Amino acid sequence: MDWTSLRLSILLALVTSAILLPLGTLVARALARTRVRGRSFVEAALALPLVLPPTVLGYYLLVGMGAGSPVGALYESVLGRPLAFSFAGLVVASVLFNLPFAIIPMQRAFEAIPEEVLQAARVCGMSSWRSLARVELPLAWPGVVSGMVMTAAHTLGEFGVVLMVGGSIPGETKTVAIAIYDRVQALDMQGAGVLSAVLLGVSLLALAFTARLGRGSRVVG
Amino acid sequence: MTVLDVAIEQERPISLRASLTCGRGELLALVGPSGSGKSTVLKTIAGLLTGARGHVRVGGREWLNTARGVDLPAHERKVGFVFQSYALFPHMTALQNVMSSAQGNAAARRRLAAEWLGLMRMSGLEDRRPVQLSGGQQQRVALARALAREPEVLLLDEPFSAVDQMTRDRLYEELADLRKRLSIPTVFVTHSIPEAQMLADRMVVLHRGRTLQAGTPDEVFRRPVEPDVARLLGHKNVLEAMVVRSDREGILLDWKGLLLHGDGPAVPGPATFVIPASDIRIVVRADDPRANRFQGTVSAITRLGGMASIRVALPNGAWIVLTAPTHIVEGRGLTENAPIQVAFVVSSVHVMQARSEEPGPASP
Repeated sequence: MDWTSLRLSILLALVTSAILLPLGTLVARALARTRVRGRSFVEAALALPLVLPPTVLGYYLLVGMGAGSPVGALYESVLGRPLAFSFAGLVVASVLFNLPFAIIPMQRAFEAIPEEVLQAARVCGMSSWRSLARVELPLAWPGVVSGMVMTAAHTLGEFGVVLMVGGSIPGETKTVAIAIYDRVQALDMQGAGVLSAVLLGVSLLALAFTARLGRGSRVVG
Repeated sequence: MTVLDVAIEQERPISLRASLTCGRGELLALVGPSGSGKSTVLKTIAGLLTGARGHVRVGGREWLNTARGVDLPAHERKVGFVFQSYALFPHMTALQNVMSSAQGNAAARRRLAAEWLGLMRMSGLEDRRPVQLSGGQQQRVALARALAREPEVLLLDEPFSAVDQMTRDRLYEELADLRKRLSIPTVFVTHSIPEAQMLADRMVVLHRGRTLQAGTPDEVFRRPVEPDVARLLGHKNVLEAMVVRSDREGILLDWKGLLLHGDGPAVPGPATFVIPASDIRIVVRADDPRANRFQGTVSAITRLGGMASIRVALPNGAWIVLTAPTHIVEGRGLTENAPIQVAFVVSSVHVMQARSEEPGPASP
């Protein structure tokens, strides 16, 4: 059992979720509420990771984070080490390719809150932040949690983007999915089988959990 | 004394040119058909919809004055708002819903909320969630929540539309009771004329986003300023005629060949007149001295409870509708195709002249 890669994957999932919880919530809420013209375009851009081949996304991320890019150069000049092929680079990639998995369920949940309930919060004297805390999050939380679970489960299993951006450095960028690939390449089918079973179990549990959330507490208008 | 003073206009998303005022303790009905912009006006006053130009003044304060760049956000306007859907917070109990709009520390808010729920006869149901309450009960919670905010203006959006008739009758009485306690202006939106006539001190008629007329329900009903208002108020007899003479003694109309005496501000020329169905009398004696007497034929009779609605064809080719108690219709033996003599009460024949201009926006 490759504990190092499993630990790394779990850490990556946690950090990604921790970043996407506030970021995704705010973006999802804004998308659910605004009716501006650019909304469809923003939604399409956020959903790109769902349809793009991971290698394509990985390619652009690698180019964007490399020492030749402004972002990569800035990072390296400040922190003294490259962004690509590092855990930090992996986090950046992971946050980006998880945007749709986090935001779509959250956005649906915010959209399900009736317009007049949101207006009621305002006329009850609640500011936008207070309305979020007192009314919107309590009503949308199943969607928020399901977005987080999907993000975590998806991060554990992502392969293509991670390989492109991170390579396979043990303890730094070698996640479970990559470890499985390495095991198979080394003809260690038993090692690959154990790790695969772990991922299969986690994914199944995550999906069952979110399905249950969706059924258990629908927003009542 | 005017406390609420509103004059707003906008082009999008719906065209609006509305003005209204409402005094302390006054109950004002905003009346109009579906889609006339009633809710939009109410939500603009509350700050829930933005984009209108003009002003909203409450007491001495300006909530909105686009000329001076004043536009308070909704949560800073002290308004009590009851939504058509009630819009209670589904995850909170009745008590928590009411507490959510009250001010002060938790104990004070709890006390105030319990007090309002008590006044709304909701004691004992404080811990229920909205789904466990009936429509009428939800509405009382919504009203308690609106009042717990200690608002300077109370706005009710179609408050009686979503409940059954029995609940509605009870709510009418409760609103009538409640208003004795309130010293703030209250505006309620309705498309029901009888509702406005029964409850409101004054009404404002809204049509296609324009406020056409304001006044007491009786005034507006008897003296509509234009045919649109008359039709909106459910007048059955809105008719075209020519003003022949207009002087101190009144107005003389040439109504397709029949001469008719009437009342109202009009100069010679084409005009529209209106007469309430209840102010056309059935004449029995042939030597009745009243003016405006015409011989006609009953073309249809519709009975509704104790009242009958009679459609009469007149010799000039026009039809009119009058209402009379059913026992009179039966006592006189009135049936279809029977001859009937009718008299229009002169002071109730209200003559309007088509206005050449759109009413302008109210002064800023």
